[in-house]
Amino acid sequence: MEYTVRELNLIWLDCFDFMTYSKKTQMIKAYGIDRDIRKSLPKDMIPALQDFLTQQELNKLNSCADDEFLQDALKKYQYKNVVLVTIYSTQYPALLRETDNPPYILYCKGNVDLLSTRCIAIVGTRRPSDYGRVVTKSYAKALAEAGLTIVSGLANGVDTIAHEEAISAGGKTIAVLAGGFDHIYPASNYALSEKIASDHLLVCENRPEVQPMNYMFPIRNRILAGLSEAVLITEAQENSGSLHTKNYAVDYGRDLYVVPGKITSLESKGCNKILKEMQGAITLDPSDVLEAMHIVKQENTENNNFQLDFNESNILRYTMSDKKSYQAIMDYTGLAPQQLNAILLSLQIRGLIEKLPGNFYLSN
Amino acid sequence: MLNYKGIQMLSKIKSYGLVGIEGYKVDVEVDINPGLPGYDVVGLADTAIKESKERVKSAIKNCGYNYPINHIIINMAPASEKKVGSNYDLSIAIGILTASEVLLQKNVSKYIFLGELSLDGKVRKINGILPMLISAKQNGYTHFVIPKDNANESAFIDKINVYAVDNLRELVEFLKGDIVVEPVQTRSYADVITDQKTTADFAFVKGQASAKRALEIAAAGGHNILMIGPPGAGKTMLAKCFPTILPDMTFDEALEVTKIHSVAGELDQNQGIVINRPFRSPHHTTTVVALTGGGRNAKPGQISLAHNGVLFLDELPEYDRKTIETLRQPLEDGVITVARLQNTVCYPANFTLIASMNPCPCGYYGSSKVRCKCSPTAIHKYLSKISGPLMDRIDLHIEVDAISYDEIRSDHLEESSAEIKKRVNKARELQLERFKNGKNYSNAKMTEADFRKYCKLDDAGTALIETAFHKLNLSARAYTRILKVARTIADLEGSVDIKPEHIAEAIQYRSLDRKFTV
Repeated sequence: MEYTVRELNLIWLDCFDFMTYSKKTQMIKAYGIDRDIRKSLPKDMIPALQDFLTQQELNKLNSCADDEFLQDALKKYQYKNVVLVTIYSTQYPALLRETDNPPYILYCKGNVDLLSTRCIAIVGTRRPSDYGRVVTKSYAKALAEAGLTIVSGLANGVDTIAHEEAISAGGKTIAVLAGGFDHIYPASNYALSEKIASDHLLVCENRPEVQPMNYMFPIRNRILAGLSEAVLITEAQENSGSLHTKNYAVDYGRDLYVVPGKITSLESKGCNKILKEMQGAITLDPSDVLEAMHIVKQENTENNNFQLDFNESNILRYTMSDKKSYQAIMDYTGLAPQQLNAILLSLQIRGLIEKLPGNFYLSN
Repeated sequence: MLNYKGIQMLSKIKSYGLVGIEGYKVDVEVDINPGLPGYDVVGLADTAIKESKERVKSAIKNCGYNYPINHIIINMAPASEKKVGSNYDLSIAIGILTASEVLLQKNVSKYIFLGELSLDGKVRKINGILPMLISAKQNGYTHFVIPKDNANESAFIDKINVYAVDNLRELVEFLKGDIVVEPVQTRSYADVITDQKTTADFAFVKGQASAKRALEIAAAGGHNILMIGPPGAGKTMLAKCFPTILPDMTFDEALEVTKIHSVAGELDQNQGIVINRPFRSPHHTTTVVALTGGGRNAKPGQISLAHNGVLFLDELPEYDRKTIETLRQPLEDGVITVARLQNTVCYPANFTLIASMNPCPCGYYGSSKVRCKCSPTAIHKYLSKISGPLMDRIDLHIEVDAISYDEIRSDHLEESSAEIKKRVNKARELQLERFKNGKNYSNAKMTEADFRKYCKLDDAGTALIETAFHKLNLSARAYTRILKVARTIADLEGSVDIKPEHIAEAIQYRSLDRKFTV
């Protein structure tokens, strides 16, 4: 991939940990970006930079100003299959560029074209209730099927469900990470991240080797909101990280959709609180979101092709609104364990019912 | 062997020793020499044997015989084997009495003497009678003298003459021919097996149908099983009922179990043979040695005591990781080799593993009653305490949830263990027939070749398992496990082929292979 001088400047500056976002901004302001910073650094830059860089940091920049250093970095990214989309690139998402603090470089892994699709962010608690699980699933499925790219943060809980549901519905998804690609967090989502990197898109504003730190997660949320046309919060606790995403969404003027929950439910406290302030954000059905985004949903007839026998439809109806234990289903249907096991599995394979921890079942 | 006065001064008595659960013959030679009174034991005897001096001396005296006031040398052959324990007391006493002419060598030669002496001459019971008798019988010995308290233990071996004696005087008179001691009456295993007493029964376990079904499958196919559930779900109770649905032990199995229990000194002497399948539940603070066996004399551990029965590990992640990892080899091979400085012993350890655990550190993840307080990372960490290789050896994982008050109160009649056992027995018979030419006798222990032969799938089955793998994120290691369990389910139904519904049910028992947390 060919980079312009400006882009190379950014890539080079991003190689240093001490070059924080604000320092980069100051540097570009003080010095401009159109010249080759590396070449001209020793001679005329020093005075202008001393305001915000220490002598040590300047020395470091000086010592790494050779071509070899930059080429090594580029080779490394190529080797790791990481594509760099800088703010000057045409591939850089326009919506994100308009925001207050757009990242200078997006490190991408996967299908970079997804950056230019219509995106919606789905975020929420890391520990969803069964209700949150169902809601997230149904929204992610409907929105992904309608052609929207589902953006989320690869965290446990709602994020994971959103990604997985988008993938299984045949839609597209983008995961925005806080730390670099070498440090997938949480580690339990490593397999999911591999899947997303191969068929979808992983995005991060940090170099692959950067360790995720807790301060990076709220900052990361601005990319989530910035990439997307709208932000959907399916379930959030009172001081959930997804509230950061909500704030960014409001700042950036994105549409915000919030799913209400029970007022007694801890997991929905955050959502309900937002709704108290911003009543217009309420969404009760995925079609609300689609309508507001002017997307006509194509009727999906595939689902109706399933042939359900009496017991299957009986079980699905019984587990519709509330999760039911295995024992309860057994008592309700009067089936023997061997028959019930076979039926439940075939329903699971068809994606009609979900097995929850503790041997509970909930129909989708 | 006469001395210069024509008096017999040397005697040779047969006894038996044990390495692990295998016996070996020990010759006890007693020589009485003129000289200062003394008592020397040679032949790698341990302290217990050396101390026999005082017991033997008092016993002989208190039974009314003269203890020779000469120099007594006792040699225990083979001299290179280390001998331990007090079971040589009786042979030493008889040796001394023979060497001092109270008894004639020709009258004692054919017997093997086993027993400990008390100071008043009573013959006390010892451990390990059964394994010694069995290996002595295999080596062609037919006449034995053992302590009366061990009589029941010896009663199940036929075609040998076992004389159980109460005290030394009785024995001497018997050997002299003055009194008659009848050999121990042989008992048949079929008679005692009916006295099985069990306190647990599945009839008392309310609800939990899916767990019961899984345990039935485990019993039928010899599969190891892991139960996951919140505290108070009844995991321990279910596990305790498990032995009641296992098929009765065959006589050979019972003998093997009895041998190990006899060596460990855990045998109930009234019964004399172990008729209930063992159920061992070592506490989670147990050490490696206590579990696998070992110590100075390489004693059998809990896994050997659970041979042909059940090893129940409650709260599996609480065990020291090193401890449970030692189960890997015995779970695969059915034996454990305990190597110590003085002994290398191979103990059988063919048990069914039942493990239970909570789904998370607080115990309530996924529970319908109590809210779980654990973070996803904590849950993940907790579950990963059990290593992949160990998980690989567990065929069934099931989730158990606490039952409701209504279920406890319900008068609904649950199926009794006896009824389940009938089905299990049928499935086991099919397996015995299937594997009659091999060493293995259960679906769980199927070899690679057997697996290819007996776990064939039709097109529908192959299609099902393929979709299931893709849809449910099953790990590759689950494949053979699922098919083996499906084989057992088919056996329970009496079906020759593995049908899709059997596979579907088997997949249901792989909770931990599926992504457990979200």
